[in-house]
Amino acid sequence: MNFEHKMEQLMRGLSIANLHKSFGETLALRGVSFEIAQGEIVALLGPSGCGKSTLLSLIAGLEIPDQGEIGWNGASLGGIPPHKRAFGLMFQDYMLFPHKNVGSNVAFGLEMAHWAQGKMEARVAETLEMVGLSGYTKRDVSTLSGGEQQRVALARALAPHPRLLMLDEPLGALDRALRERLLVELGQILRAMKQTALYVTHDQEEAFALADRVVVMDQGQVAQIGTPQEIYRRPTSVFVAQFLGLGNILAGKIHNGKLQTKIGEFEIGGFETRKDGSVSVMVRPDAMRLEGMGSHQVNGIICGQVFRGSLCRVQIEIQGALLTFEFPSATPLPKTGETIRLGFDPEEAFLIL
Amino acid sequence: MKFVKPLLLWLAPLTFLAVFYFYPLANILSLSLERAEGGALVTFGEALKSAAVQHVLWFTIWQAALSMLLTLLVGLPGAYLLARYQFRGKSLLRALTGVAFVMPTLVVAAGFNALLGPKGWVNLGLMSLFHLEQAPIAFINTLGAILVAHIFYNVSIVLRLVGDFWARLDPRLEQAARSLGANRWQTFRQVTLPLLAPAILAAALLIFIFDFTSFGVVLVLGGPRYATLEVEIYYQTISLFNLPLAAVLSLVQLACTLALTLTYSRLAARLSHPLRQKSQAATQKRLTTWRTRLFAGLMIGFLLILTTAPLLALAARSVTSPSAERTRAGLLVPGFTLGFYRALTLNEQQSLFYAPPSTAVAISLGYADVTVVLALLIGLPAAWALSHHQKSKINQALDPILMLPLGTSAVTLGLGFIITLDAPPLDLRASPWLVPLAHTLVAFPFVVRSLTPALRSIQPRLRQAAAVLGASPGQVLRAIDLPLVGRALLVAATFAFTISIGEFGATALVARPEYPTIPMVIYRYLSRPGGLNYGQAMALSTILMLTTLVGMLAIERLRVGDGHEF
Amino acid sequence: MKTKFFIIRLLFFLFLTACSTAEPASTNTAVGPLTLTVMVHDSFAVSDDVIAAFEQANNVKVQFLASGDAGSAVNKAALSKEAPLADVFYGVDNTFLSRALDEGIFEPYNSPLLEKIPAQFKLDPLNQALPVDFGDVCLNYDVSYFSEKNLTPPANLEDLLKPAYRGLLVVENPATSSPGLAFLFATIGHFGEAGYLDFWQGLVDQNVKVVNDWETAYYTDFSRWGGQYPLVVSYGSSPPFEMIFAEEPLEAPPTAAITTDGSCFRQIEFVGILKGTQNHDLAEKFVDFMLSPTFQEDIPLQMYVFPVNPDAQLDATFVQYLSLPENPIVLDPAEIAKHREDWIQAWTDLVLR
Repeated sequence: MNFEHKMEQLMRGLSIANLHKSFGETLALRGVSFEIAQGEIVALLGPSGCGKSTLLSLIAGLEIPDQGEIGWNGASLGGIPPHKRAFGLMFQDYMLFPHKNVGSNVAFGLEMAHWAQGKMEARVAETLEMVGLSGYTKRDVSTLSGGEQQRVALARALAPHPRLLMLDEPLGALDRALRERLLVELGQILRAMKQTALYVTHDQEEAFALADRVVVMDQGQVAQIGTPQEIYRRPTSVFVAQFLGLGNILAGKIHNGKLQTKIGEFEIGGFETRKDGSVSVMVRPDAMRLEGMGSHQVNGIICGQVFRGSLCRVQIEIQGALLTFEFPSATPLPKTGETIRLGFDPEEAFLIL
Repeated sequence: MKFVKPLLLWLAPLTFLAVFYFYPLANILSLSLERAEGGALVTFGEALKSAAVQHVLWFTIWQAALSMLLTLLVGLPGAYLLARYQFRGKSLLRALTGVAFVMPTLVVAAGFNALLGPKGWVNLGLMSLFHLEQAPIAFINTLGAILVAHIFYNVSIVLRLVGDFWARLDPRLEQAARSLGANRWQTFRQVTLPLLAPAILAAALLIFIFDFTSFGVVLVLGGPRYATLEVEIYYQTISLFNLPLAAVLSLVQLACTLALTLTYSRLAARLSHPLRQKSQAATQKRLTTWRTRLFAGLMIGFLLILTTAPLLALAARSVTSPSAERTRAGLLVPGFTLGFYRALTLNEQQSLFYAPPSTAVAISLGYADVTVVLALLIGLPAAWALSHHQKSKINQALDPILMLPLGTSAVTLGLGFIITLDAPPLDLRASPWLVPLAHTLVAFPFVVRSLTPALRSIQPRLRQAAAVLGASPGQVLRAIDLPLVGRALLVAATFAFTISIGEFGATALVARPEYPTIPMVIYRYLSRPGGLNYGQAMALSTILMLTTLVGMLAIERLRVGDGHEF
Repeated sequence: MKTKFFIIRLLFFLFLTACSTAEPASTNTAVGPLTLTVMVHDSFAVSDDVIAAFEQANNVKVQFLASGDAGSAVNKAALSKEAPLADVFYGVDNTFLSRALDEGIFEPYNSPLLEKIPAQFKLDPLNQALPVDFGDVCLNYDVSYFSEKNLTPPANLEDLLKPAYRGLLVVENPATSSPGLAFLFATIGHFGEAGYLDFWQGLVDQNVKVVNDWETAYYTDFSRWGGQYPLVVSYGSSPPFEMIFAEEPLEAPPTAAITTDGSCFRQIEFVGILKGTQNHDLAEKFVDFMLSPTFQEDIPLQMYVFPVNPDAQLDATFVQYLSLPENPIVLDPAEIAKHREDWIQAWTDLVLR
């Protein structure tokens, strides 16, 4: 093993290999593997019940895997109790200690690590300032608003300099405006500290906004790993596509190098050799233009329109398939019930899954 | 408005306490003190200066404190087990540990004797194992016997009050601490223990008062060398008819109870925090690792041995023929018999007061039902007022008073009952209602103490949420609080039920002989010589245990609003 | 299902209540049978046909009011003398008699049946309290223990101080137990006020065991029932009751009482008419009834004590196995009342400290 390889391992951060975990009859995790490099922010994205929280518990050491390995910089964490892992964990509803004030909550991890009093106070003040709560040290946690509680929880998790910070749906309980503001702030704070983080959420917007890479999970397994762009542009399964809101899925068939669907037959380069038999075809929602644009043309009937600010979301029935497309708001569209003629480029519009 | 609301809630509990507690108590105390030569104050001064009284008071306090600490020490791991783990037979374990609570002292003493007495199983076993001449363990009539019996009786208070509170404590609070670098012990010390404090305090208070006013245990198991205030009050009242001194001692006991409760209220208000409650199902784990299995196994075994071994010894005795057992050879095969149970159903002596076991069971259950209903009816509004209007002056004044019935000498209150409730409109002297009324007085503090922490822990926002959604206060009660305190209500009902089933001291003073409860019939048999009488006492004790067990399992099954509603 | 069960129990209870309120206490109207209330201690028992006979003969309903142990019952009667709870009170014994007489709770009644009753039982010359039954507190011994050890049982109190009987005796605490107190009185009557403490000092040197109650002494420490002490303070009647209430028929009593002169204390129980009764005639009739052979013959098997009326015939078992002391100790109730506390205190200081 050469020196470079060793260095690479040291910098690797968290590695998860083939994790299995079941609770009684229920299989929570079925062979999960991925890695988080140091300084990287990874989002764990998936619907509730996909095993995200179980995975966090395993990484934190709160549960023991049935099978598989969790390592840090190449060293296994098996058998190391949660308090010796130096990982921070921030819970969905914060789990602030109700019997301690803000300062004591933030100082808790430092006390456990036996920080000196002065250093500890400085760190508490520093962390609270970082999350925008200077002067809250003596406040009772029950008097805080939801957003404030969230910030205290973040400060508490960050204060002891965790090697890895895990955040479990940290914005789930907040209102939209607050959520968006805190999302930006959270990103800034984590990046400023070069904090390695694992961010668990069921909200793709949060995941895409924050993460360097996204791990999509489904039923205890990893469905896809990639940058936000990769995931969104190239979902690799029907599940991922649908979960991301890319719900225009058509059944199709590859026949004689041609893709056959309800809405027509297309020749698409690059796919013929890869697939055979029946396939699912994702039609991108932003792929349709008005008549005259694109290499292919198709007729549809408008079934409904929803105005969404800068976009207009339109349901169109094409050859019996109900598909949803997005057009810029300024686009002059026919009324509901009327026919629309659309143009598109199959290579761009279709993704065979 | 702020003033009126709690006052309205207090109306029923206070009326009840005024009529059935304060009035009889004031009556008997004033009647007793009137008899003091040289006035009540002189008697007070003399009593408090007396070295004998000081000695008794000191013993009463320290044995109660020690018993309480030991009970908590033994009970907390058990409460953890019941709170955090899901395993088969949990309801049964919980019910079994609670049976102890109802058993009359004389019967329990007989059980301990069969187990740890000079000719008990343990001693006989050790003697034959190590070829000893003398019984190696001296248990009966030692301080150890008092302590063990107090733990035996009260450990279920810890299991219930603390266990149920613990079960609703979000385990992620502890996980948060663990992820912040706290080890198991630090997590327990810094997070779990402070959050459990209100429930632990409530349990500690009840246990302390129980041990502080301990009578039967000290008398029978402690023996003549130990006396608590309660024993001394009994002696002064019954044996010497020194009513003034008895009244002074009763007042001292009440003052101690009051001081203790005041301290408790102060602490409890400071230590309780609004907590988000979880359903038990969400906080409980299965026993998967060998460590947890080992812990559970040891804990279950320990709790079973502590709380059921003396009772099983009794049950074994109830089906064992004494003539075979009597042989002096030591350990031998006892003859099995159901003769005692058969004898129970026969009225051999044609006694007017004979009650077949089925009747005694029915009477006991009837009294217990009424006690449960009464105690919840007056306990719920009191607990409600205490938890909703914490800052109200009325509450702060009334809270400590609720515990007083527990700290009152049974002899004193019993006599007070008889001499007070004897004139219309409350001519209850021959009424069967006296029994459940007396039981309700004892059960009431338990009901309030088990309900208040649960009600306090409901986040006000939940109620506000319901109110905003258009729920009237009554609807909030039904839709939010009742389902959320379902578990606590069950605990309260169980306490009321078991207290009523097992109560003897007050019952003996006010019950009609034609309608005897099970403990009354047991005592009747036990106070007479002859193997058949003793055997019948053991048989009926076994029936009492089974009745209690079935009753508690039935209450467990009701499970009002536990689980999914949270 | 469970609710139903609960309701049935509730109804049952309400039924009980209804029954009891249907018979108003002591309020007599012209219609229906009168009610006579009799206050008793909790050892009281009687055959139902015996009471039924009285009720029928006098067109009266007798209602019993239990009031705890003998001491509690006396207290109850004394404390409620302004508004008596009952018409008749049964159960005050000679150790408590002075308390009842001093409190003046009884009306005198010269029952015609008193003539038949031996003078030794009639402790109240004013006949406010009339003797009903008696029992002797005597030392009992375990017959088989002494025969197996070839040891002669002690013949009297003095024998207890012999080395052969060291460590064999268990007694009850006079402060908490009625037989314990009676035995203390026996020693005072026998050895005199000057000598009884020396005797007790001797017993202490002999390792006498003291417990608080008869149940513990008899069923825990007495060797007949599995304890280590073959000598116990119990009742003179215990041996025949061991025969009658044996689980399997016995050929001879397994225990025996020591009844030599001056070794037993005689407890006598009295009945009296409570001052202020509205049913004077009926109360007198009931007292007469209690002294009559019908009731007197019912006493032994119900209450384990013996009738004072010599006309009452005893069960054959008693005739055969009961040894009544010829000359039991009887103390003047006034003396008992005067010295009770000091005697108990002196005993406590000597034996328990």
